[in-house]
Amino acid sequence: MWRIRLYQLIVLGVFLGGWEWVSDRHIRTLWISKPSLIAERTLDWFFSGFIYSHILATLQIAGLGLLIGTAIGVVFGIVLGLQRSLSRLLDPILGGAYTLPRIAFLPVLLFWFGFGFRPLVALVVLMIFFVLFYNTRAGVESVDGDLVASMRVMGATRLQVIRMVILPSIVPFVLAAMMIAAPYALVGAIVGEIFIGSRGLGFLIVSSTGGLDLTGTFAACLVVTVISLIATLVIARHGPRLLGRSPGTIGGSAGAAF
Amino acid sequence: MINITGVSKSFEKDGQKIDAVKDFSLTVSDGEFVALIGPSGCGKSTVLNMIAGLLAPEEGTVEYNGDLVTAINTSVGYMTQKDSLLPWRTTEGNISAPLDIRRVPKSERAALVSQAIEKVRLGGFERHHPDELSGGMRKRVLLARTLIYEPDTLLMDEPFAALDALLKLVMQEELLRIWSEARATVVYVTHDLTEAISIADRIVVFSKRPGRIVLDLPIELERPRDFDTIRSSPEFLKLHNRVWATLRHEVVSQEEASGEGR
Amino acid sequence: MLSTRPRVAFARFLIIVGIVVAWDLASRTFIDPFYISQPFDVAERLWDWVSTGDIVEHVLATMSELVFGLVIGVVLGVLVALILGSSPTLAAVFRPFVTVAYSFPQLAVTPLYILWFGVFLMPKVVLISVVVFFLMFFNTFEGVKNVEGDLIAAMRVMGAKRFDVFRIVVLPASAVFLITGLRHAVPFALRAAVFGEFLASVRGVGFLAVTSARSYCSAGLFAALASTLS
Repeated sequence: MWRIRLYQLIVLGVFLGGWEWVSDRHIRTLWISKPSLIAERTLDWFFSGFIYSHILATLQIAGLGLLIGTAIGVVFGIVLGLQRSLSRLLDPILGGAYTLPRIAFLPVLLFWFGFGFRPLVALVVLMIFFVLFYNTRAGVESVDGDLVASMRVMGATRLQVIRMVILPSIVPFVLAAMMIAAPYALVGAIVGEIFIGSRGLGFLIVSSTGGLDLTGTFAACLVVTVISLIATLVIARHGPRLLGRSPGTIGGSAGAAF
Repeated sequence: MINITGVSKSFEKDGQKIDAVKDFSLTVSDGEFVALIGPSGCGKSTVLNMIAGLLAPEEGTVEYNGDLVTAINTSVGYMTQKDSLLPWRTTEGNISAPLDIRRVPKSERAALVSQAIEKVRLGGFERHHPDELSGGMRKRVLLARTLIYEPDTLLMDEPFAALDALLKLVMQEELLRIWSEARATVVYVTHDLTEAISIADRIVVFSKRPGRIVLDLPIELERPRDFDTIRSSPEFLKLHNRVWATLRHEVVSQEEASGEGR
Repeated sequence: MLSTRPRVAFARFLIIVGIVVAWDLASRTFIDPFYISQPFDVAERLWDWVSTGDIVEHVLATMSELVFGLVIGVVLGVLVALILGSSPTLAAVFRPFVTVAYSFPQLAVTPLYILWFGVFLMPKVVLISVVVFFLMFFNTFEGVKNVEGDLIAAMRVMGAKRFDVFRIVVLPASAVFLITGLRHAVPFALRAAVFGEFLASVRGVGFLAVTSARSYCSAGLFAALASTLS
């Protein structure tokens, strides 16, 4: 084990050292910055408090989008989960919509919601809606038919069945879906900010790059990496326990989410 | 009183129409314990579901206490083979679900629930969740839940089929004990001949699909029944042979029919 | 009685027609067509682009980004995964780096690529390659690891040398990853291409969409989207 750790340190050292060494010897620092400058800048951001408002802005958009997307996805999931025939009818249309490049809708969202945070939240909602919808629907459909039938025979109305059986059964499905969706929401917020942001981590990346301050670009990327890493690890570690015995894989990854 | 007259019901499977029951009639009088027995897939559960109002017949009528069953029949209790318990509720919570549904005031629930728990001998397990209970205990919870709103008919669809043989015996005896107090009408679906003869007043043997009645036989064994003695009695053996002769024929021809179908 | 299959297909067709009609009606009544355009305008704009051949240039631009990016990303991704996957030590050493790289949103560095490689073909090809590289890498890497467990042990017992295992088990297996990975990668590549074009470009369907949006021309925007989707 310690040998592998050592190799890992060597790889990291060679990578960072090589970068540091090449910078300004073979390639101008302007174009690639250097690790020491990036580390300094990142620490400076944290100590001066500059970075927090940007982190907060991004997390707010991701969180708000996650909540709204969850609400919409759960409602759609319950309705279509209960209306099987309607669900079957709409399936290819929904499937088609699911494969659309949602990022391509950014200009449309801009068009509809104007500037500011609203188109960004809308993008996050678009990115996570289907994860929530499909999981919720799967949860509703997995409810034991016998259970529902026996509740009905006991005299339960449709609403009582939804309250007593459906809602409690889908809780683990919705939680799992939110965990899968959380990194997507983060990516949605950052990517949206790159395109039309005025603050936040995505904006920090694009504005630093635009100002030829690549140290700032890399520092912002570093912060993004750390945040998404924390999110991924927390979900991977605590997700299964939160969900108890629920099935399915837990946690998405930001790398492949857009 | 349950009156089923000339009902038919079919299902679509892989684009093919399959008749579950065709022109089927059956009358069950109040307080009677009837066992429906037959080869698997012969439409026994379909009949049960029609009495419960979960399925509507395509032809014919189902009457319950003189009224046509057109919606879900909430004066029956239904116990299925699977444990249809709410996994997130405790024993108490599950048993009080029907009271919750019927909006019985919270103050009255506790007494009813503890009474029911006592009846099925689950004392000490009030706060356990279903996954902390054994298979037999889950059946007891189901039984208590079904009995708590005092339905005048119990529909039971192979309720103990998933249990091992010994536990099954225990649960059958429990059921008879509770039934002798409650005196509800019971329609009990099974494919276990020994079980049917031991517990029922009357056995109705279904033909292979589409289900019709090929034998309707009263079981005049004395109650209360002691399983150990009746199962070795000559009357029991006679009944067993009589029913088995009919049932065997149906099971074999059902097998052959489904073999040809493939 | 009509069998269910054609009935469902017909109902779906009706739903799509219904959506288009609803769109048209909405744009004529309570929603300003400025925001949602009108189906007819969009169709007209599309037809206009097709008949004048304007669209060819943009579609070709996006297509070439996709092809170059996919080829580079797939080849590198599979190759690196096979190399790292072939040795447990290598795999263990690189695992944390892989985790970090995977949790990083690849699209976020697009501005950097534009700065480094300009506004033409190059930055998009790089962006797509990186995105595809990681996708292919993870698929193949996980796959190779899974193969190892059951099959390779059996092969080794049969007396297969390291290279034999690679030739008989790993290579055919990675062909499967290649195909499933590709199916997975194409939509992501398209998204990356469009996003790259959004940020900075002189042609491509993303460019069309974003210039239409910037000039507040919703018909053009929706027409460009339609050409992205097809």
